[in-house]
Order: sequence, then C-alpha cells, then structure tokens
Amino acid sequence: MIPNDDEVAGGYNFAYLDEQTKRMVRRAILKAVCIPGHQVPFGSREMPLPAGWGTGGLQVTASVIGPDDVLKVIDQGTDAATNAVSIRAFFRRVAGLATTERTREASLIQTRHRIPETPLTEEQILVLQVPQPEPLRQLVPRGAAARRLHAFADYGVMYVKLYEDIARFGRVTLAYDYPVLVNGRYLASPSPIPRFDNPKLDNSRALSLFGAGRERRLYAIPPYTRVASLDFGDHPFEVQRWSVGCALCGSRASYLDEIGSGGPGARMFVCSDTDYCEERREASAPARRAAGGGRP
Amino acid sequence: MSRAVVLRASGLRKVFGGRVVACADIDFELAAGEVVGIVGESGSGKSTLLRCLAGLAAPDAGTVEIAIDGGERVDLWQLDEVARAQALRSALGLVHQNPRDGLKLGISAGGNVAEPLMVSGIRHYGRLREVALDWLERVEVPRRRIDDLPSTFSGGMQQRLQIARSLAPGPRILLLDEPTGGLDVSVQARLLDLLRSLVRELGVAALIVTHDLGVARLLADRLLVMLRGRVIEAGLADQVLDDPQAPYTQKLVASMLRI
Repeated sequence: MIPNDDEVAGGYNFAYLDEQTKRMVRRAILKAVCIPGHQVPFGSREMPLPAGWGTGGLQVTASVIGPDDVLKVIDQGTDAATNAVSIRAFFRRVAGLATTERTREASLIQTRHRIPETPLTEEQILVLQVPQPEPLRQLVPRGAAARRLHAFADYGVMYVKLYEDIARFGRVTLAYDYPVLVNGRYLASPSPIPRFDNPKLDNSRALSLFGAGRERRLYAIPPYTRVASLDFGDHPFEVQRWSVGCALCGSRASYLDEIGSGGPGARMFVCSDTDYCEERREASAPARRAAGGGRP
Repeated sequence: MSRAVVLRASGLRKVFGGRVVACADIDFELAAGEVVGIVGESGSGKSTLLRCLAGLAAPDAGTVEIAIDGGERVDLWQLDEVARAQALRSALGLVHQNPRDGLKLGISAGGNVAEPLMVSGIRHYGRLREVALDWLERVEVPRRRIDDLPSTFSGGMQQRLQIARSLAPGPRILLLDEPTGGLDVSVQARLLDLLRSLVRELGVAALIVTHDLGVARLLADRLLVMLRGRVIEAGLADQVLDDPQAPYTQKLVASMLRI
C-alpha cells in the first residue's frame, strides 16, 4: 500500500533521521556485517517512541531503507498489534513508503518476537528489535567483563546455565532468546524470538540486522552464515512442538499461540504468524479472504 | 632435582605506587610433583607473589615461565591476553583463601566443578556430570549434594569444593593462598590430609602460601621464607624449620606454638 499525499508529513528528512546520523548507523552496520554476531556500539538517537519499544530497530530501518523499499512490520507475529501499526504508520508518514502485510512482497521486514514462517530471500532484509543485546547479561553483570569473555571467546558460563537447567529440570528451559553462536565465533542473543525460530537464522538467505536502541548496540548476521544454538552432545537443541495443528489453517509446521476462543475455558492454538496463516487459508479456500477472513 | 621444572620465576619484582616494594628479586623453580611452601608474616609479599604467578597482577620486572601442554615453557607475561588466559586455564589451578572468591555461589556444586571443563570445550552433559561426581567423591563431598548451592555448604566443604574445581581440568600447577585460613583446627587437619594425598596421587606441583608453619611442615617439601618482599631463606622444609639460618626465620620458628 502506497500512502497518499496527505498521509506524508512535510518538514522531515526522508525516514526521519538526518543524513549524518544515517551514515553513522550505516557505518556501524557495515562493521557489524563484517564481524558476524559482534556487538557494535552506535550513537543511538532519541526517537519519537519510548526506549524499549523498538527504537533500535527503528533506527536501523531508517538508515537502510530507500524510497523503493516495501516495509512490513511484525509485532508478536502479527501486523495488527499496536507496535507494528504505529511503526508502519511512522514510516508511511516520514518516508512516504509503501507498506505491506505480506512477507513475500516486503523488501524490508522489521520485527519483534518472530521471524516469518515464509522463508526469506536474498532480496530481503530482516531488522530485529532487541531489548538486551548482551547474551551474557544475566550471567556476567559487568559489561566490561562480558566484553572480555567475548574477546576470549570464553563462553563456558553460558554452558553452565544450560548445565544448571538440565541438572535441575532435565532440559534447557530457555523458551525464547536462546543464545546462538554466530559463524563459530561470537555468542549472540537472537532477540526474544522463540527458540522455534532459531533454526531460521542458520544459513538464512536474508541479511539480519539487530538493533538495541537503549543499549546503543547493533549486530548482524549476514546471509549464508552458520548460526548454531548452544547445546550439549547428549542434549541436542530442540524446538517447541505441539500435539495439534493450527485451528485455522491446519499447519503443523508453524509456531502456535494459545488463545481463548469464546466460551469460558475454551481455547485453541493458531499460527502466531498471521500472514502465513492467511496465505495458507487463501490457498486452500480462495473465497474466504473476500468474506473477511483474518484472525478471529 | 631431575624432574621437569613446571614453573620458574626469575627476577620478579612488583612495586606499588612507586615506593611500596611488595616483591623484589624473587627467583625460584617448582618441579613437577613438588610442594613448595612460602611462609612469611603479613605484608611480606606472599600474596602479591602468588598473584603475579597466577596471572592476576603483572609484575614490574622479571619473568614467570609456566609449562603448558606439550611440556614447553612459556613466559606468562610476554603472551598476549588471550594466549595467557588459555595457558593459565589449562596449566594452572588457583585456590583462594576464601572459598567465596573461587566459587560461584549462585550455581550448584556440580556446575562449579564442571565449569572449567565447559570452558575448555567439553560439550557433553553426561560426561561433565560424571567428572563432577567423581571429583565430589575425591574431595569427600557427598554425591547427593551435587545439585545443591555451595552457599548451603559448611566452610570446610566449600574449601574442598574449591579444590575440586581447581583440580578438575587437570592442571600441572596448583597455587594455594592460605587454604586453611578461617577453618577450625579439626577441619584444617582433614583438609591438609586431603590435599597431601591429592597432590601425591595426581603428581601436580603445588605452591602453598601460608603464615602457618604447621601447614608448611606438613605439606611442603621445600620452603621459601619471605620478609619485606624478599626471599631471605630457602631450603628443604625440615632443614629450614629445624635449623633456621636467618635471624628472622629463627624468630619465626621460635614463635611457633608447641603443643
């Protein structure tokens, strides 16, 4: 959808940030791409959005986006959540950009919590909003000490966390933000995506950029880069599984959300990625979209 | 002595603030399987020396050579930071006076023992578990306490756990800083007994810093006596304790309580 003229605000530079700032962020991104998984500091700016709502992703998007790009914004898997709607509206307003809800149509996808189920292509860039870029944060409270461990590639502490989980609960209990080793060198936080999405980062065709506005760090996973989720030889990494398929499209291969459905105690599992779900339903019954299909 | 030298310090010097000489002209060697004690009063430079040897503080002059895998010796303070960390990790274990400094109190006993192994690259839970259980047994911590936090352990148990943690990766050199400080006498005796048998059994070279001459006599083959940052007397433990030459050593030995 291309915004009409009265939707676009005058008086702003293209994509809100001034050109010098965008250059600064791009330089940091270039460095991040050169050292996959390494956190690069950047001069995070005040954005017209509270820190923690995706200011990092917003600045990365604003720096790499061009007038011909088509933007998709995801929050919790859906394009209709508050954060997604307001960020999409923001770029329509300050950049006059075309936006879409379709993963296939987008050239740039800014997301929080999810990576689309539809495989990405070499033409696409994925921008993730990261609240806490430091995967060792909970284990090594001092930033300088954590950076030293990164420099030494000394990630024993992270394995201790996995060890403790298995000793106590019999399995690793991290459901989201499951740490990954990028290109066999840097430990990185995949941002709070469910660990279900971790395998999508491995050898992904798309460039993934991670921006943390409050923490003033960004990092990247270039296309076709090895991304391994940490595990033990005898306790291999596993993704979440469900005993049912999506109640709407029947998919058994996508990440499911449990939602209430009408009556007291009634609940069902549906795809978290609404675009994927809709596309599947359309493919099986083309008439439904016309009848106003979507999330109930 | 024909055994291979695993640690050699020569001309070691450390000065604080340009005027407080903590260590000066320290030369000694530690051979494989040997136990050397460093005794001296508070402020004599024992701990500073140990910190220089353990890679915690850079000396102002002199060299510290340690034997790494393959038997060759490297100069610890000539290595870059990454290589130094790696050399220290594989070759050297450090036991702090206070077990809280050497242990991580927020993770279980098993995790504490297994951590250095995970750092060195073991990625098999079952194997880590096995090694941890084995080590708990060797230091006489009950197997069933493996998933308990060290903060629930007694002081003596914490100290034994710390020893297990430092020995688990199989270092050639063990540095101990007042390992029996803060423990009561009966627990001390048990710990010393354990240390002695472990050191003999594993053949690691140990350097024990202590102000307790009883500990030194019980464990050490050789003794270095330090005063104001210098080694004033060195020799076989019995020789130094039974026939001290330096006036300070004579006083030190004379001040020992005899029961």
